[in-house]
Amino acid sequence: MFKKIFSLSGLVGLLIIVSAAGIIYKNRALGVPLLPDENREMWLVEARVSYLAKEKPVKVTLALHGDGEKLSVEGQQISLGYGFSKAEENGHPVGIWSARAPKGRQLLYYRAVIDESQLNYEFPLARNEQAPVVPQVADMTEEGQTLTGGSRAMALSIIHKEARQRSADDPTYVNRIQELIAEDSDNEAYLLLKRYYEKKYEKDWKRELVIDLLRQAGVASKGSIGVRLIEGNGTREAIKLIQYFDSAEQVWRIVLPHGGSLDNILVWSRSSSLLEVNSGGEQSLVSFTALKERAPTEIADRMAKAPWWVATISALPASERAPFRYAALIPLGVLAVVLLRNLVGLATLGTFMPVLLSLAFLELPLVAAMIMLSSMLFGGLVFRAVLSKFNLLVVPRVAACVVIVTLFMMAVSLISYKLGAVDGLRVTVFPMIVLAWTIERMSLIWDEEGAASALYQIMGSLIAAFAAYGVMKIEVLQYWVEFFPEVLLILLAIILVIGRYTGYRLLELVRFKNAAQMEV
Amino acid sequence: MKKWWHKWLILPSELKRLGVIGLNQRNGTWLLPNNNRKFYRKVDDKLVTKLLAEKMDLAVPKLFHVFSTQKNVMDLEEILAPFDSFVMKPSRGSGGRGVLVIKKRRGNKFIKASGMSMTIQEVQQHATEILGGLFSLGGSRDVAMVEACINCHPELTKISYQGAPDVRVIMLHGYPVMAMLRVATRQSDGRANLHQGAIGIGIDLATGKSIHAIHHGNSVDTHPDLDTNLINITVPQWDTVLEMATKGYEMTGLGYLGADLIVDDTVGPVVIELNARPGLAIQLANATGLRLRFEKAQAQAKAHPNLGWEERLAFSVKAFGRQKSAQ
Repeated sequence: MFKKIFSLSGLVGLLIIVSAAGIIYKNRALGVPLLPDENREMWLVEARVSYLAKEKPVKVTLALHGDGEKLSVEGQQISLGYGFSKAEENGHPVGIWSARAPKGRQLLYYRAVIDESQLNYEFPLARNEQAPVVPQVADMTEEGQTLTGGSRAMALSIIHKEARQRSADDPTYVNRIQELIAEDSDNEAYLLLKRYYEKKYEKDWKRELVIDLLRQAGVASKGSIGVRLIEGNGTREAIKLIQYFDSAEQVWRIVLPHGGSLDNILVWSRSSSLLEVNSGGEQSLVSFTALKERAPTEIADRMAKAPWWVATISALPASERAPFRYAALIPLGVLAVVLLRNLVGLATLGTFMPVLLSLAFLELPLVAAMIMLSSMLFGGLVFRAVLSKFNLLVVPRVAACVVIVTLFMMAVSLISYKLGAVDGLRVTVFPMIVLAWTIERMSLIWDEEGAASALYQIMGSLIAAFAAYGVMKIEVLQYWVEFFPEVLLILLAIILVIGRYTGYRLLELVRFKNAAQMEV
Repeated sequence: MKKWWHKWLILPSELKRLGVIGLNQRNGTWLLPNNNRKFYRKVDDKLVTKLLAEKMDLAVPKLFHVFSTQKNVMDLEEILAPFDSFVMKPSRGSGGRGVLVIKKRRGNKFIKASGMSMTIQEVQQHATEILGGLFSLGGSRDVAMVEACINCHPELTKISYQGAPDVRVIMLHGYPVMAMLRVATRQSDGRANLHQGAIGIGIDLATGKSIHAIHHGNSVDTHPDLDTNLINITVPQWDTVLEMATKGYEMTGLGYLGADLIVDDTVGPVVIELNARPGLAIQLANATGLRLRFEKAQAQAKAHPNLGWEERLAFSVKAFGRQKSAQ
């Protein structure tokens, strides 16, 4: 009996039973569905406030999304001792954390569950809200202590008039202004304003300029705060938005200061200030994590509250969960590589290098990733060819390659940024050390076995990376790995079984094709 | 019988019937269960192999010197002064990487096998590279061995395009099961690696005569560069070659083992290196699958576990030889 369990088939059976038991329990007792709900577009958005407490009474006020379905103050000792209440400030919902004398770096979390189909960028007046009155631009001089104050007012009115003439109503007026900023016109008045606002508001200058130009036109406007609903590794900053009052339609409209599409942007709060910490704290910061919620809210909540061995990663704050979602996919990619190597017989450079590449593919659009990868490999190979003239020892040679790949990556980022592709900025997701070793191996094979062999192996690696990417990208698998991590035990069982496979590899059927002439 | 699909592939059922084994089977059934990891050092480090072989009275290329420190390399000129020809190689290199063959000297210059000349500084640089691990994939430090240069038997050099042909014998549990002669081509650049374009020639265990040859997996009868016939060539001193290979089992304790030997013109066969993971192309070179032979050898080893090398060798020649031995 004992021996049986420790035989391979016993172990495989045990793994499958344990895994199946976990899945059935979660499905039956907690009601976790076996398949993700395709129609739901729910997002879990988590705001994380971090600040340095100074052992004084502290009050943290965070602007909230009004429809937050769920609320929690996470992380045992960090939130221990905080009182939390919801209130309204200037007509906007806020959450207020308070504590007597916390010490050190503090983390506070607020979560809201958002329905993507309910994203809205037009807000009619609330029942008892008055249409806003616009303060006149004339009072500029009050703050216009500088000599430029007068010329600024002049410039504002010039731009205003031009935009006014070429627009029909408030929304088209806003469009004109955004166009002006987007094309960075060399209009003299605009340049003057740009210089002034850049100096005064630094990176927020576009928003402030648009708000002032709206005020010039008698349109009420103010800042508001958005969060981009994109899954990814790590947290994001809030996006600064503008809302202006369209008096013809009697609605508040949301726009981006520099124009462009609002796709995927959640209006987190229509308040212009996101976070206020009183004198009890300093160095405060808000960051956001958005996760696609693949299971219904109440079930995800139930999972999170279950014992840790049931909840697993659901119990973590969203900012910790996001990277885990990626980490848990790695075994899927590894399985794909095992299948390709041991059943197909594909040769790859470095056993699991393709899995690391495929993780990079997950973060970037595939075409962009391919172009960047091949340009980095090409650049690295050229440099490596130069290096080989100096007869360097292995470790310094690979280290030199890492430096070059890093520099090359910066260049690719910069160039793609200049060309207007934001994706270039994220080449950092490529595992550089692995790339450097790949280049080293590839050039060794190139020297010893010729270009054909090197290209054959790099093609094998890329095919394996694509396959791993394809497997990791399957939505159902992503869902299972997140909510039923015990499927990884089944994966383990499959890998163990493949480990015992002694049959032919697919490519060996080609390799040995001339064996047909053999005699038995 | 040739079928239309054989132009592209062969069916698994056909391969199985022919007894051809694939990499998964080699690893899972023959290599992993029979090769204890702790013995790998005996074959992966050529210096250790050489010392073990000398202990067993197996002929090896005479070791002149081992450079293990940079300081040592500084005195290279003095140390190598007595030797007109020598081979310098990394102790833990693989696939023939980092092997420098010096055939003779002319004044201050060293003349390589290809006829190119090197200065003493260049030879020192090569030794330094070996010490720094340039030729080991992981980049770990190594030592540089200097040994006597082998003068391959003319019977064999005449079918090789530069580079000395070597004989590989594959053994299971100390029973030689298959043998192959590997000769260099222009494409393989003096090296005897089949996937670099060298020719594999199957050798009959009983007679030492070549029976079949492959180049890039295809059957050939003549050398593509030299146009010499490759079939029915006899490996000189074949009995000694087999005897030495068979003793490799006693030397290493590895159940699945490949022995690489070169037949020297004057001293006869010498062991160049042993290999714990010999490849599978030998099946194509011999036009014979390995599985049936492995199974026979395994059954014999099980039935008679403690046979000496003479008895094992006799069994192999009888069981796996194509023709009756000449004697």
